[in-house]
Amino acid sequence: MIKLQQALFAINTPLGKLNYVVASVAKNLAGGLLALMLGMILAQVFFRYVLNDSLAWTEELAKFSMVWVACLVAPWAYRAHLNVSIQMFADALPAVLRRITELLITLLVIGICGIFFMQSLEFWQTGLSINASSVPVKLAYFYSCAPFAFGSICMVGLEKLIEQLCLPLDHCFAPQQDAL
Amino acid sequence: MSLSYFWVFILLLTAGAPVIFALLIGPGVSLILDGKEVFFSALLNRLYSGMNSFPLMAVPFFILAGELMNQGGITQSIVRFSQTLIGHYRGGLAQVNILSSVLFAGLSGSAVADTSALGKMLIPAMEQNGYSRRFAAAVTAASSVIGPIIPPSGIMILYAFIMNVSVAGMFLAGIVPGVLICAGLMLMTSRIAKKRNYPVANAKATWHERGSAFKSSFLPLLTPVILLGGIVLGVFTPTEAAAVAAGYALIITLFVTNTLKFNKLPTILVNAAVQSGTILLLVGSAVTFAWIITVSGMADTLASEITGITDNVLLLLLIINLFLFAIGMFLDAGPAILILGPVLAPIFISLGIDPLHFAVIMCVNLTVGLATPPMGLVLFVAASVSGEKTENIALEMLPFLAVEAAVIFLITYFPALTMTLPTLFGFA
Repeated sequence: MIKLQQALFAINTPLGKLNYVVASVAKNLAGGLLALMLGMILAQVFFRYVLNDSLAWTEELAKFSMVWVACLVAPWAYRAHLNVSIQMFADALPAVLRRITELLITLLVIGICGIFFMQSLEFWQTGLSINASSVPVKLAYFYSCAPFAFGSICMVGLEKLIEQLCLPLDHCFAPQQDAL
Repeated sequence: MSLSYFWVFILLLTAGAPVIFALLIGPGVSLILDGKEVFFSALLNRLYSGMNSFPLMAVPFFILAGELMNQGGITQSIVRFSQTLIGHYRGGLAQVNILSSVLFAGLSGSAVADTSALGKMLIPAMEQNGYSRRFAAAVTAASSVIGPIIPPSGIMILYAFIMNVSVAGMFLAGIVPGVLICAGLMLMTSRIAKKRNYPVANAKATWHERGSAFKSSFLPLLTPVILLGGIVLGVFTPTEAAAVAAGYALIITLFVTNTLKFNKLPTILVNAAVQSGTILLLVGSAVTFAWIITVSGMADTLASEITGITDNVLLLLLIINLFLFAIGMFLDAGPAILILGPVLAPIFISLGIDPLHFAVIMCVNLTVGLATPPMGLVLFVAASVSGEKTENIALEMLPFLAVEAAVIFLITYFPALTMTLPTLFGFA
């Protein structure tokens, strides 16, 4: 049993590091994209009112950037427990039941994100043949945020699952590990 | 389609699953059980298109504007200005806390940002002046719910997006309820301050001192004027107005007040992106869930169940307010609006309630829920900032919650309170 736990830990350490790096880089990119979105919309206002010339591409590109921001942030938010949840009832459960519940939830998250990951690959493929309406760029570049989000959530889910399997039962009562 | 998705969703929610995943897993399980896996691509399309919306872009920009104002130290000048206005009354610092919340509401639109920014500054100051810590934290938490009611408001944008209501109309409709809550909280504070003999904060400020304090907070306080003015006069769309607010906040904190350093910008942008991203994903999931509710026919079933209780609209409004208040005790305002808005609003609109009126009732009610136990985000932030126990703050907050409940009652049964301003400007 202990050997199995050690083996799982051995897998989880590099996985955790990889997830941390991916999530950190992604959230920093999201910050950059937010600045870009702001620049585009301010340029849109400036061109319309000051230069009397409406920009056609800003709105569409800013929208795509926003979806990318959401998808880039997804692994970090899941890893750092930033998604809203109601913990009150779960906290009232006995430790064993709570552990089982957490495991089941993580399995379901991996399952649904796995399905969506497969779907998003098809979604991405549909974008390979279509250009965005305002710029000559294939929609696939924008759609690729979906497989990234679901794939990275699956990876974080796997890390969480191994972590939950490895923890001895008395850890149920310990405070949650820091997201980093 | 079976309603299994709904029960799976409720089960997962109570089991502690993140709301965003509960919203996706519920419909997913339902599709698998019903053998309709082919619709997974439709779910993904809804999720993507739910986030790919121009009006929704106002949310990240308002969050960014709030972060810039917060980190740029605008809080201090606002508190100083409030202090010169009303600091000389009994319980002056508590009153300053409430007025600062109102002024801050015009900048951030977030109750949590308000509690955190004002609480860090005012709770220790109130304690030093003889107020109990629990009272200081309770006033901070209670007044910060004004944040998402007075424009700009993040949750109002979410509601407007999901229910296709005018953002400008909602912003205008939120002003009177926000002012009413402020007035009610100030009256209650004054009563408590007299009873407990709380001190005045400072001697009455001269007009010169007031003018000087106003000068230093004038530019930040101009934000809501630019925002609302721009939207109402049709100069900008709400999204452009939000971007202008963020750009304006950036310029005044970097170059005018010089309270923000360039090296802080990356952190602010990343923080705003993380907050926005989590909300946007939630919106996408909620849009997916709302679609399933519609195609499964659950919305119609629920509508006939609710209208079957009684045909008295006033009584139904009371019931729905109690229901929303109870929901607000357990769920944050944003997710609650995204999940319940598409279910409840059509019922009341079909009963003759104006869409804007119902929107404001729902937003104000669920916002007050942010400060109610057992699951009140604002309450938790106030506890964390003050170091006081949540239950102690909750107990101390009861008189303030009574005021807020009274305002919900008033705006529910006197639609003119919310509808006059939007009607005046042609949004209703």
